[in-house]
This record gives sequence, structure tokens and C-alpha cells, in this order.
Amino acid sequence: MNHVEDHITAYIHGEFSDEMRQKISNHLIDCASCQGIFKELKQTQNTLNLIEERVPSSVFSMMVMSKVLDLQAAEAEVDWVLEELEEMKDSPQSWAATFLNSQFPWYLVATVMLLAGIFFMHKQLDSDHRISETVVTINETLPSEMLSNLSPNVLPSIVPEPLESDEVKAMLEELGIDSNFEEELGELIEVNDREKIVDETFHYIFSEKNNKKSERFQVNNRKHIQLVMTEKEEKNKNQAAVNRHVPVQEFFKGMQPPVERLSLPANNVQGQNLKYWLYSQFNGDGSVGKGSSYHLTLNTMISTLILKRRYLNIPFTEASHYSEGDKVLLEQELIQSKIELATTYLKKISAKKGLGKNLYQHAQLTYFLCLLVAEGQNELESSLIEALDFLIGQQNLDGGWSKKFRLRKHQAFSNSNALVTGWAVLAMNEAKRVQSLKNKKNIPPSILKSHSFLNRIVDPRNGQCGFTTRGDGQHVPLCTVMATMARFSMKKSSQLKKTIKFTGDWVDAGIEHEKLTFPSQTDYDFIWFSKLFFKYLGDEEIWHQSTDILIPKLKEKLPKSCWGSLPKISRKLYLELITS
Amino acid sequence: MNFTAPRTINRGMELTDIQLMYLVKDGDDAAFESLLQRHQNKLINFFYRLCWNSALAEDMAQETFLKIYVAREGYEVKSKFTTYLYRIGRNLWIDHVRKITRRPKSVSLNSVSYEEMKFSDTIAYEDHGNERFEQVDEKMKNVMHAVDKLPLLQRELFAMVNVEGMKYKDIGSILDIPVGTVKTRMHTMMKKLRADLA
Repeated sequence: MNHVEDHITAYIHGEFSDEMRQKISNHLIDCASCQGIFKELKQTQNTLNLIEERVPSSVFSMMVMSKVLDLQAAEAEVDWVLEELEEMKDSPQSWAATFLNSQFPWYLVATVMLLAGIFFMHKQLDSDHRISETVVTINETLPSEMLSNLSPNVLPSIVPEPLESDEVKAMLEELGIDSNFEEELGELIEVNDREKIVDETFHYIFSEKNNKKSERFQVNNRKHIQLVMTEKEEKNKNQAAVNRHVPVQEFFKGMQPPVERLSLPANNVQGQNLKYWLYSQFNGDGSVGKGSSYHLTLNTMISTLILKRRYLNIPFTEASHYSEGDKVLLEQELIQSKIELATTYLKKISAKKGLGKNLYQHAQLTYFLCLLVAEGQNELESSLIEALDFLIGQQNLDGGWSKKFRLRKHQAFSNSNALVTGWAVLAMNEAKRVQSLKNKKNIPPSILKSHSFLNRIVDPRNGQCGFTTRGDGQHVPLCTVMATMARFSMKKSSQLKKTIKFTGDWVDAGIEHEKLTFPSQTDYDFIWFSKLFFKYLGDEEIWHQSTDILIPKLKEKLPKSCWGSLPKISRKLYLELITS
Repeated sequence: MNFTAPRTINRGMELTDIQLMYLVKDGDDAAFESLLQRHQNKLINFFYRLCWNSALAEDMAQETFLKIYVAREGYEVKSKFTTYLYRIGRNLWIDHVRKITRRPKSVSLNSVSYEEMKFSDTIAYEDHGNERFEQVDEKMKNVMHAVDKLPLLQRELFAMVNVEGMKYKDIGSILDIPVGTVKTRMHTMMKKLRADLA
């Protein structure tokens, strides 16, 4: 056999048939020069085999699948545009019919403009451009490209004017791209194929979206959590016997009510003040406080709940034990009248087109409405049914809820938000408990659908939520608490243990509040959510621990502006509801 | 080759890639997820060997899968699914390399020959060149540098042959060249690496 040097690589890679392999190996034994080459190449291959295999990050497939959902949503929107145009074409009176009959590919214009719209919206939102990728700059010229390609006369006012070169330059500088501007531009001009533009835009929208801010946020705070956790574990080791908080209900079991509890309305100045303050906040029509209709409604609902839970529930028999029965009775009549007044206001509200300005408000108000109905305000049942129907009608295809109201059937499929979804699921779970709503058939399937969404947004590494949803990266702890409550109430959720641990860590970290800075506007939400959370978990101990530390801090903040956009009255009411 | 879509599926048997792809075509997301699970590791490792950068490799793999999803309606069986997958992946990679390559001002895109280009010519190499090697030992660093010096076409061969289970025949159909050519080029590549690593 001749020398086999040329075959050696293929031999090492196992390419030949058995017969050929045998021949080559026979030759290698005999021929020293070929053997030398073989040894060297084999050694090279062995070195190459040492290169480590990369394991994809655990969220990889999840990220891809979430983008697939985004793609589906966008495709559905394009379909919708086409359908609408078809419909317009069919009706002879339509103004568009004349245009559509004139051979011009209007549907294409509409599609491309829609994509441009999505792109611009996206571009404004996304400040985290990647530096090394000129995709960013390619897309900057897209609108003008589209215009010149399609038709110069088509609605020039809608498509934004292309940026001045100075502006682009400044942008490039900001992004850290120091190369010559003209050089960059040279490559942009070559992108003039229409299909390619659509393709690139699609591509840009759905592949460049990385929620980096949220990642950074999580990484930073995860370190804090770890720190807090280790410190806490050490502390716990030292304190074997911690004074355990006894849940209130158990404490009262089988014994005379202690003085502290019943004397609350009589002796506790703060409680007394709150009640009279509440009375003073009632408006003539039964609403409470001031502000937009959302605030008025929320205030009224919370006030009613506070009145019912805090002041109405003191049984007469217990009160007479302190010979203050008459006073209490009178007091109760007054409270009852206030509650009735509030109910008349709430009854007027129609939920057919949604409560509040957005779905977050709607879902939240629906939740409170459920609580009220569950506590016996049966007059509100019809509004509750309307609110629930509206809520279910607003559910996205992926099972979540977006923040914005969806006015048309096909709009906004995929901006599902963990917070809104959490509120919605809580509201529906609460509604399931209301006896008279048990026959409502559209609630369980809706909850089931949201189940898939809520499971999808869990990061399997540590159980945090809100990673893949848009726009709520800032509120990871809130999203997690909210989504976990929702998932917990559904019982059959995956990764639940991890999520609960993550949430617990956050609350622990919240207890050591000094070390963490929550987004200040959401402090009260966080506490309120975690309160609910532990109610669901049935773990009151940790809640009381956290309340003792956090509530005074919140009270400090009450008069300041850092309590978000809620008016002062709502904030105070919120806090009272939390502490009650 | 003309296949008809498999309408009946035998439960219990593992579906082939092509059967899964047809399910994807019919709108089955779960099928797409299985394809993803099946091929993500190899694809990411393929891209990793092209750039020694895990994050970029994952980005590229993600783009590849999304591209397949977008084009699902037009999918027809012309070759093995892996061939289809790696062809798309390779095209994306070539596009990416063109985007990040430095070149003289007046030269247009087409005159840069991809075959002759090396990864060390690219911006990415200069920007991230040192970071990429932080976590590996000296020996691996040498290997990585040696691979960086390969022309990109040979580097593709290197990446493909080191992805488990990829035969010369498959590589040939991905690159659209005869098996004999693959063999010759592979040998050239190995000799070059041997010389560099010696």
C-alpha cells in the first residue's frame, strides 16, 4: 500500500469502512513516517477533545419559547390587519374600497407600517443597545428605506422623520461606537431589499430583546439576599429558643377575651381616631376621599373592609363583659349606616367596560370587590359578575393579562404582566369561594390558562418570576410574590418550593431592611403582598416579624411623596388594611 | 425526495426530527420545544467553537431556532433536519461575522472573502479577545488561540467535526461540497493546528 498520510485525519475521525480501516492500520504498523504523522495528529485531536462542552443556561429553551409566543402574537396581528383590509374591501361604501381596487399593494404598506410602529415603540422602550452589533444602526434607517421603496406619497406624516446625522452620531457615541459614521452608513445603504427589511425588523424585535436591566437588578440583589440569609442562619443557630408568636385565633381559643383586644375601640386613641377620621372622609354620595374614580372606588372598598373587619366584628356578648354594650351597639349602628352608604356608591359603578384606567387597577378592584361580596355585601354581586366577565375577556392568548385594556379582539396579545395576572388570578380564586358564583363556568378554564403563563415566567434556577415578561423587571420581588400567591392558590404548580423560598428570602431581606433598597414606590405593595402571601401559606410568624419592623418605616414615609401616585388618604387606608 | 406529512403518529415511539418539524408546521409548539431540547446542546457547542464565547453562542443558537420557527410554514424535506438546522445556523454566523468585521472604508461587503477571513480579523476578537480566555488554563488558551488563527472556513470544519456525531458526509451536505473535499480540507486544518500546537 502507498503512503496513507492524506487519509490519516479521516481515519482518526472514524470515517472509513472496517475493511479500509484495517488496511490503514496495517500500513501504519509497517510505515514509520506515516506512523509519526498519525501519532502527532492523534495527539492534536486528543488535545482538541479536551475542550469543555458548553451546557446551555437553564433558561435558554424558556427564552426561545417565550420569543416563539411573541412571534405568534405578531403573526396574529399581521393576520388581523389583513382580515380587516379584506373586510373593508368587501364593503362597497368603504372609502378604502376605491384605493384597494386600484392594484396597489395596500396590505403590504399596512403590514410594513405596523412593523415599523412596533419597532419604534420597542426602540423607545429599549435603552440597552448592544454595542458590538450594528443591527441597531441598520434598523435606524429602516423607516426611510421603507418609504423610498414603497411609495413616496404614502402617508409621509405617520412615519417619523429620519434622524439628523448629528443625532445619530451622538447616539453612536453614547453607545460607545467610535468608528467613523460614514463608514457605518455605507453598510446601511446596502440594505434595500424589502423582504430583508421586514425580515430584519422581525428579527430585531424578537431577538434583540434582552431584559438586561432586570438581570442586573436581580444579580445585585441576589448577592444581598445571600448575605442576609447567611447572617440570619448564624443568628438562628445561636438563638435556639426564639419567642414564638402565637397566632391570634389560637390564643383566644377557650378563654376569656383579654382586655387588650376589646379595649381597642375604647382606650386605644389611635384606633378611635382612625374610626372618626374615616367617618370624616365619607363624601355625601358614599365615596371616600378624593381623586380619580379609581381612587374613590378603592378608598371606598378599603374603608368598608376596615369598618367591617375591625369595628363591626366585636360581638355584643364580649362587649357586655366590660359593660360597654350599649355604647358598642350604638357604635355598630353608626358603622352599619356608613357601610350601607358606601355600598350605595359602589352599587352605581358599572364594570362592563372595566374599572379604573388599566387592567392592573381593574384586577385589583375586582379582587376587593370579591372580598366585599365574600364578606356579605351581596348587593354588589351583579357588578362583580360584570367585572369578572370583563376580566376574563381581557385575558391574552398566553394565559396572562397585560396592563393595558385591550379594546379590540386581536390587539396586544403578548405583553402579559406578572403583577396584573397575579391580581386577576387572586380575584378569580376569591370569586370561586363565593357561594353564589360557584356556577359561573368561565372562571376555572381561565384560571387554568393563566396557570401555563405563570409557570412559564418562573426562573427554574431560583424560582423568581418576572424574568421573561416585559416591562416589570424592576419589580422582580413583587412579581414573584404576586405570581407565587397566584400559583400557590392553584396548588398544582411546578417549582413552587423554589419560588416560595425565593419569596421568603426576599421577605427576610425585607426584615433586614437596612441592607436592601426596594423600589420605594412599591414598598407598601410589597408589604401588602407579602401579608397576603403568608396568609395563603398559613405562616403568620414570619409575617408578624416582618410587620413589626416594616410598618413603622412605612408610617414614617406616609406623609412623604415616595408612596407612589396614591393620594394620602388611599395610602393611609392601605396601611390600615395591612395592619388590621 | 418528496415526503408527505406524517398525519398519524405512533405514541410511544420517539418521533424523528422531520416528523416533529411537520408537527411544528401544523402549529404544535410542544413539537418545537422537543426539537429545541434535542438540538440545543450541539448547536450551542458548534457556535461556541466558532467564537469561544458562550453568550454569543447562545444568542446565535436562539436566532437559528427562531429563524426555523419563522420559516416553518415553508418547510419541506430536502435533507436531514440537522443539515437544515446547521445550514441556517451557518448562514446566520456568516452574516454575523460580516457585521463585525473591520474593513477599509471604500470596500463593499461582497469583496470581503469569507473563506479567507479569520476570526482574529473581527472587531469582536479585539473587544473580547482577552476576556474569553480568563477561565481556562494555559494549555486550553493555546488551543483556542491556534483555532482563532484558522481561516473561518476551516474553523467551521473544526467546529462541526468536534460536534458529536457529525460525519464528513453530513458536513459535506451542510457546506454543499463533496465528501472528498471535506476530507482534504479537514486534513489541511488538522495539519495547521498540529503545527501551531507543536
